[in-house]
Amino acid sequence: MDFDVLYGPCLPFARDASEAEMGVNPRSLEFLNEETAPALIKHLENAESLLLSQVVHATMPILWLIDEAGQIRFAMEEVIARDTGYLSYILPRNGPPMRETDVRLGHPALLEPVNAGEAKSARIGGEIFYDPIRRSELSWVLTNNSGRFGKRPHIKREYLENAGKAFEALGVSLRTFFIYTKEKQGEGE
Amino acid sequence: MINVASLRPSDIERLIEDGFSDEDKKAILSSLRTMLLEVRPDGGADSDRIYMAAQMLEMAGAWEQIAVEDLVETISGAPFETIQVFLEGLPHTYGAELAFKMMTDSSDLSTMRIVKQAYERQRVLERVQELEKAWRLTNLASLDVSMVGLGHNLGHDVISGLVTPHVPQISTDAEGNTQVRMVPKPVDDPEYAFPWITDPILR
Repeated sequence: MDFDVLYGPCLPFARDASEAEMGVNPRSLEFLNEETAPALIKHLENAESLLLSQVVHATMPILWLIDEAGQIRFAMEEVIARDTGYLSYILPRNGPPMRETDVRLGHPALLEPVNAGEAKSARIGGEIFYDPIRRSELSWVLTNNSGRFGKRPHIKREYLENAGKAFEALGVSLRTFFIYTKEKQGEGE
Repeated sequence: MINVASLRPSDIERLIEDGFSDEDKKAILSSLRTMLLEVRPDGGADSDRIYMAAQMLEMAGAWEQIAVEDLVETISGAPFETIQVFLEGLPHTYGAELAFKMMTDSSDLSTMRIVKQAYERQRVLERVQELEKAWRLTNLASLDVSMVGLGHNLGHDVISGLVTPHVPQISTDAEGNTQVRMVPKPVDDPEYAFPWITDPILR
């Protein structure tokens, strides 16, 4: 299986990563496989049957990415204490300002820690978000909403769709939403 | 009601399909201001949030609907680092116009730093060249005035930033890993020279 064709080449992240994102993994980090997929499905399905879960999911995205080996990784967007590295809390998307002593772990933190000066690479990444719409039976959406791994110039819509199929193959049904740069006269990337 | 800090795919789809109402524009500007004042760029996830909000709104067509003047008012007062990240996520020409407007409306140091960063992009440089006449007659003059008190080195740094865009350099290490880093494009590259700047200090 050619992962470069399916999910795009494995390249270093665009833009920057914080020191914490280079050296710490989120506590909730998981690999999608036959063991974790059923639990993830239950987690997502709760939003359909329990208002309590619906409110939580409607405010907090799940991060995902595909690594060099073609493995899907996912985690909550955790906030940790800068000094201890311990989990402080999960910050909602529209949460209050964070304390100076805390730092949020985004997509690069889903990969193994590296030494200073080294890069972290992945094929594609984004968010899984609860966003029900009338015209789809699928309430959860898979996006490439990541400036580091998802919204890079070489990332194509088909990579995201193939990622969606990889989730589907393990029973996790998601619709896809591809974030792209609009082509305009004089505005091409 | 749209909230820029928690943009959903369905928000973007609705804006693309139904267009922007006045309420949508007000909600975007209001929630954007709150976000830019509250979210601190950290060089990581929070910087990415600001950048991606600008990108998603671009996809929805927001920057074709919202006047630069209205956006200047919205982002004024936000920290320099926050505005810098936000500008990076805007379409280049629109971002250049925004920086241009901010510079002509203000002469404080932080605004000049924003303009310097924004103008390092090639697209923005092209925009500057399009505005050559206005730039020469008004902004370069005001830049000279603004540099009084900043010291020659800082003033020269501002100008150097204008004429020294960065370009990606791709290399492969001994283990075959691809590395990408941004390096300054040579200043003697005629493609980027400003022929109308004849002052040897400014060049």
